[in-house]
Amino acid sequence: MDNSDSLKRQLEAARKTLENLEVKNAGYPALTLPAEVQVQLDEQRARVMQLEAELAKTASAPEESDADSFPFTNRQEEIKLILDVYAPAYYLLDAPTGYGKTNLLHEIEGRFQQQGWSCVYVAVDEHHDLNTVIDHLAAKLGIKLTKPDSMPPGLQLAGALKNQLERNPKQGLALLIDLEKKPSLVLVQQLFSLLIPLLEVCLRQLEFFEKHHNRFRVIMAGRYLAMRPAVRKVSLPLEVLRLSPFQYDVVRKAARDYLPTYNENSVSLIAAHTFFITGGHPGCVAQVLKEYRSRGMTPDVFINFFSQHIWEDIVRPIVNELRAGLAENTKELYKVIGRLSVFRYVDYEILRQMMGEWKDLDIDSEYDLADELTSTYLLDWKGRVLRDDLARRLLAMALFREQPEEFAAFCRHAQALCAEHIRQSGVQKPEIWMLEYLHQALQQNAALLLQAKSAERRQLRQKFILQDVPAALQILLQERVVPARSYQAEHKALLQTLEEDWELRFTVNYYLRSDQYDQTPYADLLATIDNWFAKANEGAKHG
Amino acid sequence: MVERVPFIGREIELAKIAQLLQAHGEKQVVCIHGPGGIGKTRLLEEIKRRYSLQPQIVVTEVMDFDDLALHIPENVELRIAQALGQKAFQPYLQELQRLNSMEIHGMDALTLDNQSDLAHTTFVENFNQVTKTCRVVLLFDTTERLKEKHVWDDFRRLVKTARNTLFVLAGRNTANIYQELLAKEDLEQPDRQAILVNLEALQQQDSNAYLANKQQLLHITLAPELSAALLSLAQGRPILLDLATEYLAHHIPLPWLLEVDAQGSQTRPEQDWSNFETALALQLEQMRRPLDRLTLALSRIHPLDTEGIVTLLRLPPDEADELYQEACNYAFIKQLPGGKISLHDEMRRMINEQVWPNVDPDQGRRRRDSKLAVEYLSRRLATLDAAIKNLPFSATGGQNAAPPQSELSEFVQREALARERWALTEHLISHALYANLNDGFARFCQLFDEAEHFHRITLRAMILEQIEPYTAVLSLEQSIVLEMRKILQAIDLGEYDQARQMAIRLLRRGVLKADQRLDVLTRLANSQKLLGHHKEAAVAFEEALQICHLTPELRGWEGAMLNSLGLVYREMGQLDMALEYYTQALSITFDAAQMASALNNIGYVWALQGKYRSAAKYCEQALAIRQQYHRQREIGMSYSTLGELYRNWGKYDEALQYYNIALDIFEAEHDLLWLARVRNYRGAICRLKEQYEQAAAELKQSIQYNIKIEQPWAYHALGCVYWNQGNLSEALNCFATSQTLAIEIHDIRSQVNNLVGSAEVYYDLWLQSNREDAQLTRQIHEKAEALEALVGQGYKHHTGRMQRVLADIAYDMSDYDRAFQLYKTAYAGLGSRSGGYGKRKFSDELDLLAQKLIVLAQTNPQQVIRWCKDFRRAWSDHEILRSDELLTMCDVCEVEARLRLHPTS
Repeated sequence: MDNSDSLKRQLEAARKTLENLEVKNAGYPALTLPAEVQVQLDEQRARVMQLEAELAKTASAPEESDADSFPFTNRQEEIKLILDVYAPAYYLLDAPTGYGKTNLLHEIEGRFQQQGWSCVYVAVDEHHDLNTVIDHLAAKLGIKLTKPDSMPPGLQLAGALKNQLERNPKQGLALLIDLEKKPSLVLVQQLFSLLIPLLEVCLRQLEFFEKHHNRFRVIMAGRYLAMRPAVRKVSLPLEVLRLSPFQYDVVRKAARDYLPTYNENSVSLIAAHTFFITGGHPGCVAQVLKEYRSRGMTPDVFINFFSQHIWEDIVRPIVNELRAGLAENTKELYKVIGRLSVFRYVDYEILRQMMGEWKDLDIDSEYDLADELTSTYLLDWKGRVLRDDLARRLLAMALFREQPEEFAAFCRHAQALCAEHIRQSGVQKPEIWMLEYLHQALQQNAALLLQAKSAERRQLRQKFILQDVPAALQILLQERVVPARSYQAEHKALLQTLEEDWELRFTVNYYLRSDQYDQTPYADLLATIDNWFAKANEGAKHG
Repeated sequence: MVERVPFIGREIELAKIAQLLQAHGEKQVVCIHGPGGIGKTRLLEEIKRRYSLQPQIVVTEVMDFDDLALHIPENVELRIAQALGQKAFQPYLQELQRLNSMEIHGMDALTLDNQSDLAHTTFVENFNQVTKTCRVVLLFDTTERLKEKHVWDDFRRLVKTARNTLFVLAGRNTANIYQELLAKEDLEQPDRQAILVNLEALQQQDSNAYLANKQQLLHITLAPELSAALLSLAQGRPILLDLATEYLAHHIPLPWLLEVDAQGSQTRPEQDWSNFETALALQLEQMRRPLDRLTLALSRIHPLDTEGIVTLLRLPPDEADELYQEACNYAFIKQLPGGKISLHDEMRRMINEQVWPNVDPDQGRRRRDSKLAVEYLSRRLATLDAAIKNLPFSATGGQNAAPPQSELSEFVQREALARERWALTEHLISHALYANLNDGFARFCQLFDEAEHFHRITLRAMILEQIEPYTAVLSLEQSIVLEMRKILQAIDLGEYDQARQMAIRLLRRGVLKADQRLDVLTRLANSQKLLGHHKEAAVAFEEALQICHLTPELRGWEGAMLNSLGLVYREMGQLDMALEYYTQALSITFDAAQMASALNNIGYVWALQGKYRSAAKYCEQALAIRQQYHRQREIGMSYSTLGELYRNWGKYDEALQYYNIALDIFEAEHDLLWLARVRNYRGAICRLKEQYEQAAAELKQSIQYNIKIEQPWAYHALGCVYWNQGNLSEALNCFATSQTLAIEIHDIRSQVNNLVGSAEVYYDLWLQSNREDAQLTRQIHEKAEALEALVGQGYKHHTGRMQRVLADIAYDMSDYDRAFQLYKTAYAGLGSRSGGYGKRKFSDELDLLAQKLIVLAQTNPQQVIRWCKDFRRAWSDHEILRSDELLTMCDVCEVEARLRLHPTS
């Protein structure tokens, strides 16, 4: 479902609620309408208007980009989640450097203010303590704290804030706290367990705050906070929102917006190269595209000349920072996360097989490992597999840049594990493991792509279509001994899973491309699969 | 840490409880009925909180049947006793101690049932002593989980007999319980005493208050329309409000939730609820928080304490403790006594249906969890074992005097630990089987055999229940092993016919190895014997014996089989056959215990045959062997056999000495079975010594032990005492009671005694009726026919007595020819024992016949002379015991007759 569909549904629901309210209160003469009901009606009308405006915006033309600065890209989903009328009160935006947390906070600040909220942004660094943060907040909110005072500053701020909003009502209060610059954990804990609850309790005295959905909100942004035990234990219902790297489509859209005069083929190809060498990391994507535009070369030439430089100067520092963050916060997991980055997804069985690889790991079983990975927000369960869309591609990239032979060997091992997994009786959704098998079959050749030689890619394409795909289908259907009568269902399930796998589609098209980045290789893959099933069905009829 | 929402609403229900509490002296049963998550548990907790400190009212902790420990018999009573003060329940605890002792000593199921009944009756008496001074409130939760009939029956009996008590039951089946209370006679005035409280959903304003509280605790605010949707969805169930609010604190509501109409949602509540469950499931699936993982673990492994959390979640103890405290604040977590928590069953259902299939499709994680649970439970078992071992043993159930308070207190501690161990064992097997079928099965066998060793029949039943779901997937070998244990269990439960059928079925499968076949045949034989099918028992033992002959590694069992065969024939009254098997057993065995057993058995049979001197030698040798190996119980049995020997011999003082030694040994061993038995024997001796009051006292004491298999004998002997005292009607009553009990347990010997004893008493009554009451002679003939049908040619002595009665009647009716024929065979049998039976010794019997002959000689000396010659011919057979005494009597009587015929010569 795309964004506009979702907006349409919300708008429909909001209109229905408004209509119900209006019908319900139709009996009141306008002047005798109770204040509470009036507020409800106003609120609901405001929501309908807001949704109508958002919907109109999605229908309009894309934003114009400034030729010198890279446009704020994507994050519409996150903004929507945070600004939603029914959003949770406390969000923690968690992502490594370069994911655009600060930009996002500023974007949100503007949006909240547009909607009539009192909204302030404060950045907190390692030198700050609770009182400094309170001072900053007070200053931004235009509140003067008395010093010295018998009342603690937090209480003073809470009281003054309540009074301010009582005198000068707003649609709500949103505090945006940027923890990007490594504040102390003690301060983070104090914010979560002291200041925020205190402000909420004070504001609740006002009927407006008591009667409307989470009109006091706090959005914090930081690096590796969600995985910290001190943060995991807070009693506030903190919703962790992880900023993901860009998918190929987003990179392409960013490239299209940033390079409005370039032809489609060039945009597609540079977007594909950029995605491949940055893993979709937003900050790196912006830098690579800027570099590309400034150099003026064709995409292939640019990559041939600058890929090493991009790796060394743009991507590697980010990877190093990422590794340092993981090492600091997830000591045991740091040992495994690099090696796991070869897989796009894993499950208990793959983890169990991989456990043997880490002899000094102080984790007892695949289940404990999975729990650690999810509780530290490194991986998420999605459709019965564990996935990581945050750091995986960057870490995999580092692995193949630094240890290309090992990386290829790891991919081959991963491919073998996928094959073994498909063969296991009772395996759930075998088709996803077949796709991962195919992904590994291509990914092990990643080093080849840095040279961008079309002859080698042609060979690779031939091998993939003629050997890897049939081998995968052979494992999926014949080694699992699937009865012929089930072929049709298997075929359908495979195509559906393939349809949902944008990353494999990109990998196939990128690794097996001719000179341009287009959908031809993927179409070949689909045709190969269809032919194989047609033959298999035919064979079953005669045999 | 999120705090718990305070208790809200339920004022109508609490007012009702308050009103009932004021009705001092009365008994009421309040059945709180309502669906899962409606707030039944919180209401019980609130009752406990509000009334705990009120004078004259004692409120127990909530007893939640979700706690498996409460499914174990007597645990509910023990909990109540502990809650109301151990001192008041001293007599009950004593009876419980006795029950415990009986079980440990392998008492039969009927006896255990009897003692259990007695313990329960005593409990109620003690309970009602407490309720004389204060009103007691008993709180029970999750009644729908209570399936165990025994526990449920005990509970109903408590409801029936308790006074000044308010029972508050909460569960999903309490409406049925209420209907049952109305229909049955558990309450005197069911309409007034049984009260059904249909716990409605929280009132709108209470729901609002609950939701508002929850929001405040989470520091969030939900939009009014969202709150309305939640209230509509939760339908006043606090647990759902709790879950939904937690969910919305983290998520933007899904469109369907916004479409839930505050008024109209009832049209599709199932769909809404299903959507909501799915949303909650998705939240748990990520297992982000330790609480999520704990919730998942608790859905299958419960209850858990901090140590359990440490093991299951691999957390350091301080974090586990913190998590435990956090969990206690959620409505879907239940707190149980002893620092344990469990998951609300509604939540458990939801997780098992919605979450596990998604997160663990191949059950690997659940198997891992079960494996960890086995580790945890094994450690707890070891801790409990150590704690039990450190307590001094105090099972003095056999003694009459009340044990000291400290001993009782130790017993209570021991019992509480032992019963907790049972519950753990049940959980352990369940998880061991889930984790790995083969390992689990091995664990099942180990724990079953351990329970068998300690004669814990109920525990064995619980262990067997755990393996039931796996029977279809067991290997052939495992299913055989399981069946063998089931047969054993059926025998010990007194379900002999079922055991017999199972054994026959298993033997027919034809897949048993020699040792298994031997085992099953032995169990079949024992079932047959206990069913009174002695011939079939002998056939099965013979077949078992053949297996031992043919299988070298099973030769060691030959002695045991031969001894068993000897016992079967002895019980059939075929003493020669018995002797033959015992002798064979003795000749082949080199095992000291088996030798001693065979010697003792041979001695016993020889004593029954009147060969007392030889018998004494065998028994004394058996005793010497047993003394050498310090087998106390067997030493006591040897002394008891010697006592019997001397009793039959007519040497009552010696017999009494042996019995006294045996009694001392069995008292020290707390062996109630043998204590009851030896008291019977001592009673018999006192009767023979004409100390009737003392005899009756001994026998009544034996009866009080409640040992089912000894009671027929005790009642028969008591009947004999009354007979001796001239109270013939009471004697007949006792024989009738004895007969009923003997038939129930297939005790042939007692049935024989009763048939003969009754016939003899009827004969006395007939004499008292001046030989006019024909009804009595009919009764005697009926008894004679029943005896013949029961034993055929066996039980020579008893058959002799019966024939003697019939002969006496013929004689008294002047039918001398018939009398002569009957006396001839009767005395051939009577000679087999010297004394210790009926009313007379053998010498008395001889005197009576001699008197009859002498009297007859006065009028018909020729006939007496003819009789004596015939008697002499018949009794000269060397196989007839005491033929010398019989022949002497013939000589004396014939001389008397001759003198009558020729008085002058």
